[in-house]
Amino acid sequence: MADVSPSKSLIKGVIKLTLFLGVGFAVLFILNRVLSAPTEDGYRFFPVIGSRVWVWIIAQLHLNFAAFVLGVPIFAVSMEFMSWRRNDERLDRIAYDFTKLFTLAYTLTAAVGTILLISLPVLYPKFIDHLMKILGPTWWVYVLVMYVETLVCYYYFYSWRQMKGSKKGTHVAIGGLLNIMGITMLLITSSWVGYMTTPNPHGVSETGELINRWQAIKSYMWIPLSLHRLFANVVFGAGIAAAYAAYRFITAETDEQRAYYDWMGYTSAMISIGFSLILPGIGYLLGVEIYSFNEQMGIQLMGGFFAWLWVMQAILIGAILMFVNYYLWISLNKMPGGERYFKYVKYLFIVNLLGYAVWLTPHSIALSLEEARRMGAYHPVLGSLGVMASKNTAVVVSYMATFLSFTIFKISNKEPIVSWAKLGHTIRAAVIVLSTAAAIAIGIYSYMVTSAVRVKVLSPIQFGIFFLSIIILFVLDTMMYKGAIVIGEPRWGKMPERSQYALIGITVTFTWLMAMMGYMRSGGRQFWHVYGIVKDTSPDAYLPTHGYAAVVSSIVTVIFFALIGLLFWSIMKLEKVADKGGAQT
Amino acid sequence: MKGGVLKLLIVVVGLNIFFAYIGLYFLPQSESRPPKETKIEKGISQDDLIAVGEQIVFSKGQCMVCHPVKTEVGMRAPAISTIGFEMEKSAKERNMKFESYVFEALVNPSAYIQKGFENMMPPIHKPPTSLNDGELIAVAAYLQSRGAKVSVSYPESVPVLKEQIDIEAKKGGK
Amino acid sequence: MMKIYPIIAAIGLLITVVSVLKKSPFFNFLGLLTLIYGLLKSVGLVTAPFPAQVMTMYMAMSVFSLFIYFSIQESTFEALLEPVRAVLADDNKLILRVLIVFIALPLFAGYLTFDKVKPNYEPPVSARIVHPEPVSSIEFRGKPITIIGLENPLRKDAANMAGNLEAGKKIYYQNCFYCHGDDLDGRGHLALGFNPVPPPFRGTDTIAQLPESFVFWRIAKGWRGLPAGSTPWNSAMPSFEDFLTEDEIWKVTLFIYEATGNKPRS
Repeated sequence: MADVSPSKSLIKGVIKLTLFLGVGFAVLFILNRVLSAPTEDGYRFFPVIGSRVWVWIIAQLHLNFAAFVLGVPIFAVSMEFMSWRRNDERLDRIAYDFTKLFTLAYTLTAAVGTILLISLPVLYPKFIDHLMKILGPTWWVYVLVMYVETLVCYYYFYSWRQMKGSKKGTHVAIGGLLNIMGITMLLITSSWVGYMTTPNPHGVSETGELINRWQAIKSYMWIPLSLHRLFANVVFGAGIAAAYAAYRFITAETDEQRAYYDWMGYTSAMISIGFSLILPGIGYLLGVEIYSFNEQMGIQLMGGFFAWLWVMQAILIGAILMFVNYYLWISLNKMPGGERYFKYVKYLFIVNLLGYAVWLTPHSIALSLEEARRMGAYHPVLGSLGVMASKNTAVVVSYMATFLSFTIFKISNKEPIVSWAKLGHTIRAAVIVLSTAAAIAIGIYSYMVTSAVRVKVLSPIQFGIFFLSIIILFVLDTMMYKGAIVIGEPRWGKMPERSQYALIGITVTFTWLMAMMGYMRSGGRQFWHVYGIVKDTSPDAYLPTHGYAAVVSSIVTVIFFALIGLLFWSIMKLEKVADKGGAQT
Repeated sequence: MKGGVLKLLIVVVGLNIFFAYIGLYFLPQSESRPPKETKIEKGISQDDLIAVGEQIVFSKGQCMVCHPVKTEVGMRAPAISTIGFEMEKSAKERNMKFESYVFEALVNPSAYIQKGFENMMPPIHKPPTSLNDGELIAVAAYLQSRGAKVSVSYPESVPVLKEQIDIEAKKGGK
Repeated sequence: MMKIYPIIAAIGLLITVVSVLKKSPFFNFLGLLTLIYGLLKSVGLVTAPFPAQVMTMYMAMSVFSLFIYFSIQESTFEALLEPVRAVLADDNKLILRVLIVFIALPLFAGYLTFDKVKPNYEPPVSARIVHPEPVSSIEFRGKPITIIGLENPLRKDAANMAGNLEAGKKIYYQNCFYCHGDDLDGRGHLALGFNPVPPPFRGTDTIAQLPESFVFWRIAKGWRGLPAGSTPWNSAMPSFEDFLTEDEIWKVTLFIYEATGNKPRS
């Protein structure tokens, strides 16, 4: 594949994309002719599983792939940039591998997107007509950007080898352009979803007439949702890259491969977790916007029908944190000098376990709004553990412990030589103890204040303290370990196989979580296509049980991993072919 | 190597089955169906009107999202159980008839905010709640029955309701 | 029954300590789980026990996390699996293998099934509202009375306070004390015949939390006046409007507050 010339690849890209769009529109045209007319209120029905589940699965799959191809370039290009500046061949190789992943995922993304493009107007003609009336022009911009994005992407990937050396700077710039295109696409798609969930009353009237298109695009959720997706895409993309590395590690045949993919898995996982630190903060912003759009929807999402899904989220994120810590602890084994730090693992584990326990404690059994209101009786211990005050504290403390696991892994094979090393260790201990104590103290204090103060003042302070302390610790370690004696290089590749399953576990859990959160975002509209404007009158206009939603999420995730597995497998096959070709010439 | 791939498959599928299992057997299972439109007959008896109103307050109207039944500390909105009494008092203070007051509170809630509360109630004759005239009157009758003698009736109260809706529409023309 | 859980916790602790000394992660794992289970269950001794669902959550989390913990280091992980492998593969453990695979596991599965399908005679739990919202107005022997905001007219009458209290005392002992008790503590002669038992007037959580108008309503209307959420069929309180006058009810109200040293909530 490396022998495809950049210009040929451009033609290939245009043809591919045009083919997909052409097939999409052609099938759409034919189906609209062939199929019987939609029902009076504008619906057609998908056989057997129903329109909702079909669109649900396809849309979530498309979103997963799109998140992947938009998320990976962000850190792939950053790494290429670093490799260029530092002249680091290994970074260049990993950036190239990342790029290979997302470039080859484009075809799958477009294929699933085409199915969605056909399904939506066929199954929901009236609703799509409405969307086109309000946001139509953005769709054509989207198609245009999609072409540019594909071209840039193909060019970026296939010109990698050629532009090495003196042209590297230009190549990185192309990568930058790729990301700008990606973010534009993200903004456009988020505006659609934002419009459906939180339509701006200045943009569209109550009867669904367009007032101002820009205002309609600029819905309440738009920017926070885009930001949330942007960072979640990086987390997710890096997670998939880690899963790829794990897959390659497990199937590797040589020690050299094992060492490289071990390192790739580690790097990807750390990017993933590092970016996930910001997500709660942006999620908070998103929540604030939803509340300011409509209190009713906010309460419904946070404490009403969906309350238990937040417990589910806690279970999942807790599991992810456990997996991450586990991976880091196992990694200590491969660090010369790592054995010195095993004594801390016990305590980190206990802190994590307690944090996890608090986080997944449910507050009340919220069967329905009415019952939740009327029951009122909480368990004396669980009742006070299951509220936001303690949960936020638990989250902060668990994240802190995870950061410390990362720190001990980083420093385990080094010995500081600076004269103030002893003082430095004391400062570190003091920062850890003080920030944890402060977080807990604020957590306890927030029981005594009104919810407004808790949400608007104390929680941000808590997260602020956390970020401040990890920045301090990071700076401190960087200074302390400058020119430190390295006891030994990490023995990359010397990892037990089970650590790789932890990486896969992280990615699967995260993908499932994404499916669930997507469902919640969509379900927040209840029985509306566009909240408050276009009513959903189809037979599917109800929220299914949590179990039903969980099963669909699992199905989506399994299909996604089957396709991703196919992608990984085809990459390996292509590589083998390329290797053979290389040997002959 | 082959075994590795198999194990991978088990991890991926196993985790998904496990999550679906939690969702199915661990979380409470209930559906949320869209509410139905209630049609109110002409000349409905007051007791029936109040009963219909109560149903709407606790289901379709979604009033319970913010309004507690009984007065409690830190409540977002006035308690339902004594609301008729409070409304009658406020209506007297503002020299309004009870009917005008209660309909204003439902369709144009930002016009007058009870002391100690914030302006956060949506007009409920509009989407997403979209109660129809009959439903609004039933809700008003129920609210009045919480602490005052019920005077609202259907269809006699329709003109007063329309008047308030018109005031809201004129104001909302921005 | 509850007392057994601290013992379970102690056994768990014992297993943990011994297994640490003997360096056996497998038993360490089991011991810790037993300890956690015992401790969580022991909570029931101090306060309300954890609901079954929360117990399952905590235990599942513990199994998952402990398994993670014991598989960090290769040597520990191997030692953790060693007893399992030995039971499954060693020739000299044939009897143990047969015992576990063919007897213990089927029995355990059988128990789980039995536990799941056995008939259950526990009454369903219903949340009873002890202090329901009062009605806005009642008809007292055909005369409408607004309850909300109603005050005891006799409280202003300071001159006759002693006399009214004396009269209230008499009314109490003629009508109420059979159930609500000589000492106004809810332990009258008939009290234990009821489920739930009549509420006491002493203490700070019954009449001290209520305005007198509420008490008036409860005395006048009895169980018939309770809303559905308060399960009126679970109350034996008669409607005293059939036996007492308005004035008499106010007198007895005055008395029960005075005698218990409580003040009505305004």
